[in-house]
Amino acid sequence: MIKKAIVAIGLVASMQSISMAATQTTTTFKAPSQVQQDEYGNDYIDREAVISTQNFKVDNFWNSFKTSGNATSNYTTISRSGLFRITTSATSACTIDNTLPEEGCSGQKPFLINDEVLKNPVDGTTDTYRVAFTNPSDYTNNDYNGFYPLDVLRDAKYYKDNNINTDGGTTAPRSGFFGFITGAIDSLYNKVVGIDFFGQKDIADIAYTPRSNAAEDRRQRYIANIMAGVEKEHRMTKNANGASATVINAPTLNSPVSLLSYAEAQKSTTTASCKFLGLELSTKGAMCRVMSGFGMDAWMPFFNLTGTTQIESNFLLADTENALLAMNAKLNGVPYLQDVAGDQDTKLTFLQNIIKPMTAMIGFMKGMLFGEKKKDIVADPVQRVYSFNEDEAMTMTFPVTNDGSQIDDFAHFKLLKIRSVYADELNSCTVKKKPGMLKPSAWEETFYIGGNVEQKSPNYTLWNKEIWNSDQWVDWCQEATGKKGMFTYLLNWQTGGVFNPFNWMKGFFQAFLNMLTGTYEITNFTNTVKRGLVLDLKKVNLDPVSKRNTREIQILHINTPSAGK
Amino acid sequence: MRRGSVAIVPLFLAIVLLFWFIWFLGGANDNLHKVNQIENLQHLQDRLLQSAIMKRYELEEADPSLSDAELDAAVDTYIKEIMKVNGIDKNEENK
Repeated sequence: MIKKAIVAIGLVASMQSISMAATQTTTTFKAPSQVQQDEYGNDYIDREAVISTQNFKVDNFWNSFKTSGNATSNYTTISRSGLFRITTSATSACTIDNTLPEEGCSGQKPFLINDEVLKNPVDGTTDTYRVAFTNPSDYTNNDYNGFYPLDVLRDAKYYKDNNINTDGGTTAPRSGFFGFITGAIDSLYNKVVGIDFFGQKDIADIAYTPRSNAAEDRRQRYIANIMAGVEKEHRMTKNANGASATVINAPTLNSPVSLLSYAEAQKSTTTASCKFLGLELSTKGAMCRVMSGFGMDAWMPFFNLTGTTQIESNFLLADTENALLAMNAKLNGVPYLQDVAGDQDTKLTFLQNIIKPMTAMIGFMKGMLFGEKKKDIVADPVQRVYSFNEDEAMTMTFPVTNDGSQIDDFAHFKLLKIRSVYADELNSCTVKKKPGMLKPSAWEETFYIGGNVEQKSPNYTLWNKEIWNSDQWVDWCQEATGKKGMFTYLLNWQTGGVFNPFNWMKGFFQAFLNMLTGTYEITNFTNTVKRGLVLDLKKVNLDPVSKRNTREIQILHINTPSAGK
Repeated sequence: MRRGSVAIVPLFLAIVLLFWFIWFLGGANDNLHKVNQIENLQHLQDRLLQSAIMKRYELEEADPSLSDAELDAAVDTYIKEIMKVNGIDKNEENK
């Protein structure tokens, strides 16, 4: 038996006399397969490689003692071919900080989009998409331009700060995975930006008071999921984990993936320290200082600082924006406000970088922020655009759903722009007319948005204004409080490259004249600031050699050897 | 003596058998040696296949401007060098 086998091998490796060519090894690659997606939405290609050794020689020791045969056996070709799967995932965070444990990182982001989004590119032909952050409570099955936050379970060790704050201070020691995330956000707002133009525009971070640990837990988990990607252990899978269309507010998740809201943790802030623009401006903010410097409140008596500015803050939105901005700024490695902001095609001044007209976005954003019916009474929204270098930008994998019942697919995007949109809305305005020389008695009227006029004292004068309807009053109110056209005037700060405060003040001046000719005073107004977040995304295939992606190589199989002679 | 001469036959046969066995093993050893060498080479090739594919992507990452052909050539050279170090590839002819 043994001898038979040996003879068989001997036949295969028969010893023939071959010309003694040099032994050479060649390596060849076959063309890769089409890009496909695995169940987690990572891209993969299959690729075959062949290593082939020609004229491999084996010395025959025993032949030295024989009269026949060759001293060396020559094998013309001995080769192995292997099929490999190269999987690419969009793990941007892990590519910049190698202290992050790999299990805590993946390419999946906790954002859900409907497949309608992918049918609706920006100009109809390209692969660029514009999606607006949409509240989970507004979830619809066919939202063609929205993305929704998702709550995806996460192991506590990959986002929680376990260190105990021993000094009793408010600053907790930060370390580990969550330390990276909080550190990134901190550096964005404290160190990188440096200038505090909008003051502490980040409302969520200063006013946020969690009602429960569970809510705070979800919040931290969500931020960690955005920045590092969903943890590997809890990745979403195609066709398996349904994205429940029910908004989850309960402390515990009832499914692995659900739309996320931490509405119960929201807090409405009504104290406006510097409410000139209707934006919540910190008194430390440059804008507020500019206002004070002009002494607006001194020579514009109608500008009543006792007016109420209501900040309707969406923490979910603020957190989403902060996390994306922090991550992308870190990836770009530059102070985003100075170097990254602005459209790539035009060089803009600093101010223009920060405040831009909405142009094409206006209609879309107005509808998003306020609903169509209130369009006419909303001050022009203003957006700040953060553009990112395509090479440096974060790559993200979004789960795609058709009807919300399950994840049907995944799509990869590069985050090219973040548009942070502010707009404000005048809710009510109380106008008081003081008694004057030509005015026999005082009256007071309150105008609410929607046309209701509450006339407290029905006295009339001969002034034209008193026959205004409520819409005209609202108009005037908006103008007087800087709600109407404010941002347009801001844009006209620099006309032809020259600073022109008069242009800017035009609106106020008009209102000022109104005040002089009739002693009207706005005693109170309620204003709501709203925010929106829009992402410009470019659909991409994940590039296995991009520094923003992680590459995994897996052996599918090694082909059976062929030992030629 | 006569008794002894008979006794030497099995001993003689045993010695013949031993020589035959040595001859047999020697031939078998050559064959086994060859199989072994080929298997070693193939194991080496298995490992190098992984190295080759990893190297290819590393090279591409380091310099994305390289063409496919250039990358293939670079990896080919890389593997050739490893083969030389391992004493598989030989430059000299007739050795």
